[in-house]
Order: sequence, then C-alpha cells, then structure tokens
Amino acid sequence: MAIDDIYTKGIADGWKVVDASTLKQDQTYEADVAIIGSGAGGGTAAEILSAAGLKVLILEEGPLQTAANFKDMNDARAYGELYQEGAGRATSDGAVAILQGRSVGGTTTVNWTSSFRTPPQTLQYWADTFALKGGGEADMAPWFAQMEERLGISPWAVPPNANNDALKRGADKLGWAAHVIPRNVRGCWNLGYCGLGCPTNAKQSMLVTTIPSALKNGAQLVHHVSVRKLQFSGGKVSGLSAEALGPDGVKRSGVNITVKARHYVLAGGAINNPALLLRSNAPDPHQRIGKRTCIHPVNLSLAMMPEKVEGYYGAPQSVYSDEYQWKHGATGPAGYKIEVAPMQPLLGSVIFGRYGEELKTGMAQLPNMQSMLALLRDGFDEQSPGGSVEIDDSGAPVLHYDFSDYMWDGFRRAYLSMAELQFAAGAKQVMPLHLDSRPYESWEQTRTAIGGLQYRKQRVPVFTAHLMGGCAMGEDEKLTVVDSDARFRHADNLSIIDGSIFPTSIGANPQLSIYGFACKNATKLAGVLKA
Amino acid sequence: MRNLPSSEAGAGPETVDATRRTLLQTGLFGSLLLGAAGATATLSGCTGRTEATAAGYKFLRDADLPFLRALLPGVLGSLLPAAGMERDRLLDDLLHRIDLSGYRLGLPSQKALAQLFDLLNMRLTRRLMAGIGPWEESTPAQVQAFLERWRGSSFAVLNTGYRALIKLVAGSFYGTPAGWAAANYPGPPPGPYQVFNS
Repeated sequence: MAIDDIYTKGIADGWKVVDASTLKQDQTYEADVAIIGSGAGGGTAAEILSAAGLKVLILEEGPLQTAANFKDMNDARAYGELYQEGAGRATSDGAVAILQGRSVGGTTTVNWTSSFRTPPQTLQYWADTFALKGGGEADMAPWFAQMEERLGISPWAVPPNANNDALKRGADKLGWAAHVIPRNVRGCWNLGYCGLGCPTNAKQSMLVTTIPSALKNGAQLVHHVSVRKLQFSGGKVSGLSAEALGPDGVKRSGVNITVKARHYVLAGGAINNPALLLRSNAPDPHQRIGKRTCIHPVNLSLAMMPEKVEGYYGAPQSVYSDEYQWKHGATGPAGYKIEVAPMQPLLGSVIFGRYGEELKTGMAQLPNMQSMLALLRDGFDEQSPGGSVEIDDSGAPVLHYDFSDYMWDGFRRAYLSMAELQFAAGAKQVMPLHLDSRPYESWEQTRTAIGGLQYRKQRVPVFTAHLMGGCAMGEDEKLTVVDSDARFRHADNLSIIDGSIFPTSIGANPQLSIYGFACKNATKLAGVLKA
Repeated sequence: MRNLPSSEAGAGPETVDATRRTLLQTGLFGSLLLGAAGATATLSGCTGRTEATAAGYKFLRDADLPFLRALLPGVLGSLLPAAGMERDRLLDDLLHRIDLSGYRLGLPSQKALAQLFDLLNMRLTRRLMAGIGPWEESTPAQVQAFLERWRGSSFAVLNTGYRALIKLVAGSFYGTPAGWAAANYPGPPPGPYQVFNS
C-alpha cells in the first residue's frame, strides 16, 4: 500500500510545479505576489493570498520531496537532503550546530510538530520594547485559533513514548509543572520519524496543507531555485534575480531566472532573509538588518534508564516543562523550556559527540538512552542581544553568535534541571553533554560535576533548530526592519512573513507563532492588494 | 586549483590559497592556525596541493584521503570490522558520505573545513597542531591521542576541529546499517515500513 504523495496526482491534474533543475533556458516569471521560501511563513501566505484571487508564485531553493521519498525513514538521506547545508550548517565559529529545513515546506517538513501559541509574556515584551501594535494576546488569539483549526493542532491525546514519559514522571515526582504538547497532526501513526519527513502525510506541514491548497488555487511553485538579489529602485522592489540549481540541489545549473511581481514576500527564514537583503543592498538606515538573531540555544543531558526507552519510536515531543521558563517574568535570569529529543542513531551520535570506546559503548546503549534538552529563551536581556547575520565575499550568509555569562548561567541551571528530572525519573546514570563530562551515578555527584564544568564555547556543545529574528517587527523604526504588519519600511511592495520578524526568541517552539503572525499579516496584505 | 562547489553567487573558482586569504580576513579558524599555515606554505615553498577533487569525489582531494583513512579507525576504533573486504567497503562508503557532507556545506563552512584538512595535511602544521607523523604511518592509538589533545586543549579553535571531525565520522557511521547495528537500533518499525514499501 503506497501512501498517496499528493503531488503526483496534483501535477497530473494541472498543478503548476516547475523543477528549475530541468530548465534549459533562462526564464522570466510574472505574478501578483512572489513568495521566496515555502516554509511556515511562505506556505501560510501562499494559501491566503492565492485564495484571495491573487496570482502567486512560490520560489523554493530546496527540492520537492514527499511521502514517496520519506517512506524509507532513513536518517542519513533525510538529514542530507532536507536540511540546510545537509544538516551541517553552523554559526561562524562552529560553536552552534544549526538544524534548519530546506525543501518544499521548509522546516515544517522536518520539524517535530510541537505547536505552541506565542506566550503572552513574549507578546507583552514586544509591545513594551519594540512598540509592536496589534500583536497582543487578545489581538492574536483569533489568528492562532484559525491556524490551529487549519493544521489540526491539539494536545497529543495518545500516551507519550517512554522518552517523553520520563520527563513527565520526573516532573511529577519533583512537583514541577509539566504539560502535554499540542501537535499539528491528523491521523498520526505515532511512528517517531517527523524529523525525517512524515511518511504518512499525517503531519500537517506546509508540504501537505497550504501549498497543495495554493496550487489548487492556481499558484505556481518553482523549486531548485536560489534567489540572489532583489532590485530596489524608487522606493520599491522592481524585480528579483535568481539562479536555478542542478538536480543535486547544490551546484547552480547556469540557468538564470527573473521574476517581476507587484509585491514580494520574503519567507526564507532568519538566516537567508537578512542575507538576501544584504546582498541586495536594501535600504537600512539604522543598520538593523540581520541584527538580534535569536536561536533558542539548546544544551542536552543524556540519561541511562534501567528499562528500554526506544527514543527513536513514537511522537518525538509530547511533554514539556516550563518550570524554569517564566520564574522572573519575561526578563531576569535566562529562562528555559525543557523537552526531549528523538534518538535515531545518526542524530544520537552527533549529540553524543564522543569517539573510540566511549562512542562505541555509549551508543550501544541507545535503546535505554533518554535525552533531555533545554531551549534557552534568548533576546530578553541586555546581556542576551542575540547574534547577527552577515554575508561573506560571495554573498553567503554567516551567523555570528556569542554567549555572555548571563547565558552560560542559563546553560548551567538547565544542566542541573535536566539531570534532576532524569534522576527523579529513575535514571541509573546521567551525562550532561559537555566536552569534559562523563556519566555520573547520582544526583549529588552530577550536581557537583555540573558546578565544576567550564562554561565556554565549544566545551558546551550547543545546538539550535529555531532561527528567529534579523528583520524585527514593531513601530520603533530605530529597532525594527518591518512595521507591525510586516511591511518593509523602505520599499512599498515588500513584506517579510516568517520567523525572521520576531524581535526576540519566542520561549516555545516557534512554528505556531510563525503561522499566527503569517495568517494575520498575509490576510491584511491580501486586503491591501485586492483593494 | 580546486573549485569549491557551491550554489552561492559570486563563488567563482577558488584556490586553496585564496581560501586562506579569505580566512585571514574572516578569521574562522583563528589567527593561531592561519599563522602556522602561512608559515608552512612560505617555508616549504608550497603554494597549494592537488588541483582537482579526488577521482570519484565531489569535495575531497587526494591529499585529504590519507588523513581521513587514518582518522576513521581513530574515531571508530573497534566499531570497524577487522581487516578484510567488509572493512574496506565500509571505509570506502564512509569516505563518500563524508565527501557528500562537505559538498553540501555552504561556502563559508566549506572553506573552514578545507582549511582544517589543509592544516592536518601539511607536514609542519600537522606536526605542530596535531603532534603526529605522516598519517599513512599513524596508528589508531596515535590518532586518538591527537583527538584527546584537541578535545582537552584550552584553544577553542582546536576544540572546534575536534568536534567537527568527530561529527563528520560518527554522523556518517551511525547512518549506515553497520552503525544501526552498533547502536542496537532495530531500524524503522517493520510493520509500517512494509506497508509503505510494498
């Protein structure tokens, strides 16, 4: 029984889908709205704008891959083909590994389905600090509700897998808050391979929801195309130039693509959007493009459990703890959200980060390994200004990100919380992931060891899967790149609709925040363009 | 000279030397290593290495292969089968997986990785930075001693090299059937897998 990949039939029925790697000659496309990127922001905008009767063109750098590709549930293929830089993207000094999607559907094709509304503390902070208008909790509630309905978002009703259950068990024992994670799934098989592309179309990613819907509305999708420059002239974007990639999605094919549109929407994410604007010499009088890039820096802790955990099977994230997220409100010492990470062997080995016998004996215990992660909430304190995106001589994006003592203190406390939870859940051993750590036998021993670790770049392995900011929104034009409706300040026909407009991190996995703001801003834009 | 494959605009043919110059400006691997690399190039009169990628590879050059052939047994130790056809096939598979990982990186990371390989390939910098003789003659124990020095070093740039090398090798190995077996990972759930693939 093959799973319907949706696109084979759609294309046969006349959907306009172009694989730019097959083009032999330079092309020009025209549209009412050109959307650059097909992830949470671009996909949502494409559906709304096409439904309003606008002629929409979606440009995606990555490949079109579907359930027909995902059916092998193979981690090596998925990380290589569905992630930015083959999952090898990193900050400029290599200290933070970056997992970010790169295919039709963007990161929604490979994310772990956790769906939270933007916390009210975060929305209030944006209003207070960046003069964001119309982004309060009550303002946003209907937009979140609309997208929750659209994408089947609701708390996971199935019992958590053992990896998540350990988090719940530990939290219950310690009397800490822990709750069920809402997921964007319909008819989920509870397999656990969300990060490799959903093989059953249950995950309500852009790939299987808004993009097919936009294509039904007559939108055109061109994939394997890398947008190089926007042309700015006379207070507008007058066109964009792009290059087709070859079938391997890496090399350019030599075919050039030109796009003319009434309106342009950037939706390439918090690294690629600022890079495109910088390559294009976009007007930026206050030097705000690419600033305040927030990443929810992640550190991890592994536990050896007496029973099998099989963290590679079952919904990857279904329980979270915000016990230490809002202790001091939005500001104060860095808050963090605690979740778990799925443990297929490739990702497991990269997280583990050891060699020789240590690697062999550690990884051999994968079935009993429980993995905890902490998402640090960055961007809410003067000592946590986020990073910055620049471009190198070739125009390629480079993300610089530094950690202050404020953030190192957050990592230290997060290690402590994770280890405490893991021992409370019955762990035999806990290993906070650090270059100098080893497995420890008791909470007391682990607590002492964590206190003695060095808190420095590289010694603390840091990961991110949440790229936010770089094109901040709000009414304070000295601090922001777009206004409260996500319109670029210095060109009438340019909007930015994705996670790059968030002025801080979210304090929760960001996809529903992106959907909600995209829904609001694309709906407003459709009204303007149809007027 | 090697043309670094990339989708980035303006990324014309890049020589290894041009890469080094760029890195002198961007400082990705730090002035410490670059100083050593530059000194070596000057002292030895060496201005570059093989010009093209190795036959059958998209990113790695011939000069990278002896180093990686020594690195793999250092990182993987007894995870590798004993000498024989099975081991040779696996090593060849892993080299190609590492090659593909390098090929898919963006230009800035490709430059950094190429430079790391350069440092480990050139005689003086290899001795200075890794404290090890020719890779062809090194034992896994010597490679592990080098990895341990880089892990323990107080220079963050050496820790960076350590983590990059471990990630390349371990991430490649644990994506193979041999790696799945070594992790006692049963693979995708067989029932659904059969349903999707029948």
